[in-house]
Amino acid sequence: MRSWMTSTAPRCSGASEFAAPAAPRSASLLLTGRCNLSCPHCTVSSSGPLGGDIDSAAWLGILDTLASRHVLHLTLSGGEPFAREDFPEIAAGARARPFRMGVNTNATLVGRAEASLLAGLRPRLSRVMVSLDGDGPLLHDRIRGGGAFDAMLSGVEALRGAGIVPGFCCTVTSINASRLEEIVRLALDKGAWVILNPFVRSGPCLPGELELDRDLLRDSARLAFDLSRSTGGRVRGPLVEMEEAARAAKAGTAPARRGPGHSCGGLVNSMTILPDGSVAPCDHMTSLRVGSLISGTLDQALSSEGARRFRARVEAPLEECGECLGCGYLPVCPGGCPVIPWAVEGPLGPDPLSCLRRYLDD
Amino acid sequence: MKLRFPDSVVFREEPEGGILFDVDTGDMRFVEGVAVGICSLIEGGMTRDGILSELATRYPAIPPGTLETDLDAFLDDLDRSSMLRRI
Repeated sequence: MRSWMTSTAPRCSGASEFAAPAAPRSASLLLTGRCNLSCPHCTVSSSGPLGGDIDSAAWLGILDTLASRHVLHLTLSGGEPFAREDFPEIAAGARARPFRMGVNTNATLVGRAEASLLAGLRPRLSRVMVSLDGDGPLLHDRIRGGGAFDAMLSGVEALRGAGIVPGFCCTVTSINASRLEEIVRLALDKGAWVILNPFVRSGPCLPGELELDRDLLRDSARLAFDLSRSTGGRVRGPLVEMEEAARAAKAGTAPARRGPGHSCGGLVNSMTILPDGSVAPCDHMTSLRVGSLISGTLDQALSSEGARRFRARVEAPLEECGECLGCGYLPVCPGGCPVIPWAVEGPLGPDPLSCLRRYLDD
Repeated sequence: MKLRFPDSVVFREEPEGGILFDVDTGDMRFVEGVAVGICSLIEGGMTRDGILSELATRYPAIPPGTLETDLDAFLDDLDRSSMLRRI
């Protein structure tokens, strides 16, 4: 292509300009706050109940809005999406519009019919992610409730029977960290990949005793990294990335920090739509509602004062936080998630789950 | 000749350029500069000749033959990537 083709100005007439904020590329749809399980670490209930569910017609209207703004990827989630009797209608509505999709489920309500429904979403269904917290019923059910493990395995088998090889997501807590390797082995035996997320105490309703202390975080991250290497990258997620970042920082090969503040793409690259149609930055920040797609528009939400304040706070230079000022890792600091420091007034502090100084220094 | 993106291909503009994304395959292609405008014109239903005319108006300093050759090369490239239909 010649150089004139890649010049940036002037644009052809007819090319749209950015009168409104570009919509995020991806959206997580928490279709319901209801779930047949009640896991103590569930992030969507971190700040209390999410409020009532809007009906399927309202969700279809939201899908129209997201399609008109060229959102590319949806994650259909909850709560438990299969707790909604009208989930098939909403899923079919998503399939009928130009989205690539993922579905998050605990799989305990997935039988042959539900698996067939998901299979029918292909080829636009890019992944099904199943929650896994233990390598057997003793541990998994301790966290998720009696019978959850067997029901989950049954659901996974139904998915596989329909030609869907799921991935798994494990929330690593003080309860299950000691069985991490066994959990990963099970996940990779039954599925394609596993994402390891450290427990994030993202709200006051979550128990602090589930948090990983620094030693447990380091041990888990190192194990996750080793497992990722030995399985060709089938083990993924923040724990693997934490150890990768730490090794790069120690070796002097870490990439320079890309932005001034926290590495949060909330309301820019991604957003969450709550069961009542409210807009939030992400699944972890359900109490921070910047607008509603029922009583307002997406543009109003994205350009609201709440959205502006959110972006300003997460994008503020890390140096504004006294705890970060002078930190030797600042030039390569990955920024981290703002959800834990968010609750503290003033400049956002470091994310304890990705702070290199906390992770590396004795 | 009418041009259109396949039903599975979404074009979106962003501050840094544009994205063509196939929701069936997950294939993604980034475009920049004038190509963003061309994609926008395709999405608006303009024909190949209409786009060429628009480019000639916008870029009078570029020889018409160059405009045509480069536009066709870009459209062929999209076609080969299964991100364009000619009707």
